[in-house]
Amino acid sequence: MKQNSTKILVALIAIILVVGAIMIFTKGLAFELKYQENQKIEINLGKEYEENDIRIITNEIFGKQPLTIQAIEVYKDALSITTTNITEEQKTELITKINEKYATELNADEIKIENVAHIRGRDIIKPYVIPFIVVTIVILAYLLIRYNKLNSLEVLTQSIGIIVLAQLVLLGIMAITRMPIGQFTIPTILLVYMLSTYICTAKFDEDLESMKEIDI
Amino acid sequence: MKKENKNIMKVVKLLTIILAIILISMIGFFGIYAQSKNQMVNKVKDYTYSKEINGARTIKLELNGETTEVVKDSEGNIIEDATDEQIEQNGYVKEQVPNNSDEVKTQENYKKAKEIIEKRLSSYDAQDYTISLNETTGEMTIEIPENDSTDTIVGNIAKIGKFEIIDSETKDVLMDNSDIKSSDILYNTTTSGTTVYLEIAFNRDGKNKLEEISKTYVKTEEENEQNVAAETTTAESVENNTTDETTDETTTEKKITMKIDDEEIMSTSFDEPLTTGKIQLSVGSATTDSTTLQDYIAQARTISIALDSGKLPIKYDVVKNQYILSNISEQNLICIAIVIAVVVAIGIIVLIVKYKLNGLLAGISFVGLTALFIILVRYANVIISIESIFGIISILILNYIFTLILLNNIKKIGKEKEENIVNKATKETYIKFFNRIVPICIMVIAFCFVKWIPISSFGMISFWGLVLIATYNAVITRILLKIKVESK
Repeated sequence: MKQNSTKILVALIAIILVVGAIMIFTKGLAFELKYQENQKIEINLGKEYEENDIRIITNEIFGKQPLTIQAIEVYKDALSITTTNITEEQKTELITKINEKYATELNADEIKIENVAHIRGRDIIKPYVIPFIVVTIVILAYLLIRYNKLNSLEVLTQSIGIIVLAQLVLLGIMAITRMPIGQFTIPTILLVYMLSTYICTAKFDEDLESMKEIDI
Repeated sequence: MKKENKNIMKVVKLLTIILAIILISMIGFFGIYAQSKNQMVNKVKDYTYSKEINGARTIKLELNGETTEVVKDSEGNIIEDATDEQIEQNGYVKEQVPNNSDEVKTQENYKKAKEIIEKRLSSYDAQDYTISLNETTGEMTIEIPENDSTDTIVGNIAKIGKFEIIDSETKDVLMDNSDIKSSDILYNTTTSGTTVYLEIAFNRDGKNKLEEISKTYVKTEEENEQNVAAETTTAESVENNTTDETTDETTTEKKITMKIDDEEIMSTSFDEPLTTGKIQLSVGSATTDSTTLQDYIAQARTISIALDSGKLPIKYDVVKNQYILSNISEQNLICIAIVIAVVVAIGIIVLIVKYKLNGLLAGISFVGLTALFIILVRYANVIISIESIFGIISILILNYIFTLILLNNIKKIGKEKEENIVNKATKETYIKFFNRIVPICIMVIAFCFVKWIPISSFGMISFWGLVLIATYNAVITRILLKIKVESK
């Protein structure tokens, strides 16, 4: 029974890794809007707006383009619309529809389309690199000491293997599901990392117990 | 009769604990509402959110496109402080020079400017910032959390940070940013109050230059002895004497001028050679007023950060400074909470199916821990970021694992023994579980000390979660299960 479930798990991981790799090589990874070059327009309505109303208008104009609507300042009377690309026609149409909806007299010519550069991946990762390296080294050292009765090389390789494999599976799932790399990526990596260290200790505990049983 | 009484007491105990858990859950999940100014206000402390959830100050920096008028001689050298007469006499020419020439508008300089701004943000402790740089135009968009120091950062982030020590007469540059090693803020407290000093430490070259300058630009005094002798006759003239002594000094020294961002900080000469490679500048005067003192410290800190981070190769203007709210709305957070609640409910159902009444009690206890955890998070001032939401999820997963191990142990020990089952099972569970999570504890403690809000908030929230798992389960879960298991 246990062997069967292990086989299923191994097969599932293999499928995720293979399909994920194919997806990365063919389609690449998806990035959240903030982490790719985008264009932005800011509209000062002068009166409070409902995000859902604006969303209906932007859906009509920008279709399936990824888009974020953010309020500027706390009064919620100005907003910023960010998307991958905004044409002059789209801008004019947007302003016209907003004018119709809110009875405003905004002039499309006075509203500029701003180009916003992307935030580099390495800049997002930078603050996490050193803490992760330090923590991994300390954890590996702990595992080597704690499970010194087991083969040290095996403990080391298996620990690194489990931690890396867990992250690769996560990457594979992200590639397959087209989950964009963005705000939720690093927290997910943290969670998976945390759980993979638990899997390591649970596995080595089992190995120790079975070793004791053999000795008896 | 005694056994019946015992059973009634156990039921009462069980119900009391369950009711306490329900009460905690109500407070944790919904809050305590009381009327205040005709409104119902939640009296439970609100969460502190990070910039991804709360919104951020967005600053846009663009290259300065203005020009500055300079006076040049026939050889093209810039002449400072030239009067109209001098310009006419010497045939100098006035020219409009762009603040950012085409030569400085390079990708390399844009990247260098970004690095300097990053250093400044770190020095201002503006953790959790993002910078996007347009490498073609040099424009930068910076997002920083909104707090007490945000305005100071915005006001100083684009300062050039140009440091110069020049000859007061010839305007020759004697020292510049390349000679600075570091700067620091020092304090000296006397009876008249506390004085704030900005200490600039120079590198090897700078130290040698400073020593040379301090030997060259020396203070010399020649006293007019005749005046002093003449005015020491009457008691009344003692004061005048003192005044005259200073007035009659004939100063012949060469002076240096220290400038930061072309603003004159001081003009002085030296009493003795400076051999330490350090120079101390007093910021303001001695004061006992804490607000004034804080202002002086802030001024000194601003200069120190500008000097330490280096000189911006490009002049930037802050063209936009707005508070932009997050695209993660309260509704999104509620959705996340609902998803977590559904998963927890499924988990509890699994426990009930597998362990029957023990599973139900462990499930109730689990809900209590979750409620207590979110109350603790509010009062422990942990910043709620996306990372810390994942920290909460990881703690819930770990507590579920703990509960599973505990229920398994109760089942296993229950088959072998009849006494003290829960205590023994709890002890075994603690040993097994906490042995297994030592790497997680290492990670959590290390992350608590990282100076980057997303990581530290994950560390802090997980730390409190682990403390809660250790204490709550030893008290509440253990007692709940003990009453039920050992009432047979």
